[in-house]
Amino acid sequence: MAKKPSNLIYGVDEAPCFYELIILGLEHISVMTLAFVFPVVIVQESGGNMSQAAAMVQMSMIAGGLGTILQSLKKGPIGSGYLCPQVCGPSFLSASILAGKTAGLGAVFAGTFFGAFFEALFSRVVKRLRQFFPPEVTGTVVAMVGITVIPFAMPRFLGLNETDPTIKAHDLIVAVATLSVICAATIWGKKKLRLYNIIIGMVTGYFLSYVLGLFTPEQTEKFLSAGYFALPVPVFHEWHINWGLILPFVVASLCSSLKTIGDLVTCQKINDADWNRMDMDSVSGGMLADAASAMGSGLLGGMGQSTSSSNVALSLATGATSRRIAWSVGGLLFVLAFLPKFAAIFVIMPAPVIGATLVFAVSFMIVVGLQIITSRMLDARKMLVVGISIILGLSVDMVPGVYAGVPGWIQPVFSSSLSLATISVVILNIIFRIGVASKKTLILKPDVASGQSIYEFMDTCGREWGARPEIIDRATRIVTEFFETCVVSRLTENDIQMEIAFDEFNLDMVITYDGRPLDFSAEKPTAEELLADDAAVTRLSAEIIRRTADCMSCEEKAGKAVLRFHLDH
Amino acid sequence: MDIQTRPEGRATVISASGKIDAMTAPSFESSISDLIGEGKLCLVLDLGAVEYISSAGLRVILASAKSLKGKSGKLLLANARGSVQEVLEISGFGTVFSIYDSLEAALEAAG
Repeated sequence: MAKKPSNLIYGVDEAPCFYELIILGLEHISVMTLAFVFPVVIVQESGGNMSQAAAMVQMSMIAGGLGTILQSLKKGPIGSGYLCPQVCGPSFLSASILAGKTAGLGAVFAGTFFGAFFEALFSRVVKRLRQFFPPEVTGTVVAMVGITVIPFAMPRFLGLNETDPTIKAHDLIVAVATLSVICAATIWGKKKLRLYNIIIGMVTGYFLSYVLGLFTPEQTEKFLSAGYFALPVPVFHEWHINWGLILPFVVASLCSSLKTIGDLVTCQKINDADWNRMDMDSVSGGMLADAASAMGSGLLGGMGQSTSSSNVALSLATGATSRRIAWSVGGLLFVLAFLPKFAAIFVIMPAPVIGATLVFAVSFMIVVGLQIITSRMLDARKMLVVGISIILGLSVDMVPGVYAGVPGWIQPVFSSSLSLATISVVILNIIFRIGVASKKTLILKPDVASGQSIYEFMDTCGREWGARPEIIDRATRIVTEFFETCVVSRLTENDIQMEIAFDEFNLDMVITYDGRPLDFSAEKPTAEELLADDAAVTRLSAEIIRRTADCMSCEEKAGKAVLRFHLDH
Repeated sequence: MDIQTRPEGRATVISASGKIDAMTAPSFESSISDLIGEGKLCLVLDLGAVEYISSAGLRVILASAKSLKGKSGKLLLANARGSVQEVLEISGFGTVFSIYDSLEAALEAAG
């Protein structure tokens, strides 16, 4: 069972009370509102009208609500068991615009469905592909998920827009005040204050925006004219199936899948103080929930759905990761689809308030990604896998238009820093694995000086394999202790061969030499024995080795000693 | 392995860094013996920068403690982290020595 980290107020299996569920659910929805801009953009680019845009937003809300609940399911083949809300996925944006412009909204919905179907298939085989998603890959994706949001967050934080790229003092005041209140509640606030940090910051931001006149007449009109109740009516379009247009959706789904893996790894990590590797059953079920949500959205006439990194970051920032919050978020999204007036409160959220909230949430996301990357030992090839991918990803935002000449069918890969970094980190990891042996051998001369090569050898192995540093430390301790004892006790006068093998779950070592084996049956020496008798140090070594290995055996065959040690990884 | 010593009130702090194993244990032992020979009988061993300690290093610590005890002195251990802390626990040093979480706590105990 996962060990709840001390920074969480409500862990994944715990249950906040009803009113806390509602407030926390609303907090998550307020962060999700930004993503509802995407369907509007798609409809506008496809030449659609406002009612089509409104319907697409409502259907996306329903699909997102359904997906969020499915995602939280713990038992059965679908669901990761975590609070990992589903929103309109930015990975689908460029593919949807391409399809919408070329063949209308029918092509967008067909593409969304078939792209998501690919993810459903992918979810069934992802367990067997685990070796392709080591921590440096998933950590890079998680960090890039955060970095990707920066171009959305900072212009809003500073009050910039396309027509006027100058910093607005009023916007900046609202953003800084909102962020300051959220940070203060998080750092110095007691439990309740920390739990509602975002809502408190947002209320401050709304109030200051009202005082400083940041609400536009259109926003005021939109809020006032919104009805209190309206049935969401899907606008069905005849599906337009064009395989040339579906391919970009498959690429978009692949990006979305990898981002989902990153988000779910983050969920696992923030919910388990002892986390050390991906739970692939949870990831597989989570990807299927992600796919089901997107397929449902395609069928209803909504936008492709994907897990929301900002919301995962929010759950960490508030210290509330209970899966019951997912039910609250899902239920509230359903309800909001019927309550335009209430939904309008979120829809008219001032840009600097959105910017401040995103800056807060994203800062957690980026650091979690870096923590995942550095949870393993890194050698030059792993650093290059991570470094090159981050550079490629950042180039999309830092050098606008640099990939403008890329063919349309592969454009989704180059359309966002996340997609490019994700594809890059996966491919480079596969390529750079060439030449990495899973088994290595070290020959040691039986003298104290040659023991120094053990440290270097173990460190190199650990970095090449991306092993956990604490496991390599334990393996080094076993070999060093054995070697020192072997030399001092003159167990052999010939070379000692050590073979070490690694996979993601096991680290096994076999030590072979001509001579008698070390006696592991003797009892641990007392302090007095250690000082009085040199042989007692050998018994202490045996005790250290015994207690350090998870499993070991020792045998002698035809004058050859064979020692086997196993460590769980 | 590197060893630095400095006086702190009545005590002498020995700050070791790197690895203390069969290769480095002899120089570690002679450094401590020299201090005891100079009449420094209240020693605080700061293990904060020690990456690894083997049974050979543990034996030096025990032998030094025994030597100090014979002269009414004492050896306190401080700041053990990660792998070093694990080895001290496995070997049962916690029952033989006073092991302190921080150097400050050890110095306070040293008087």
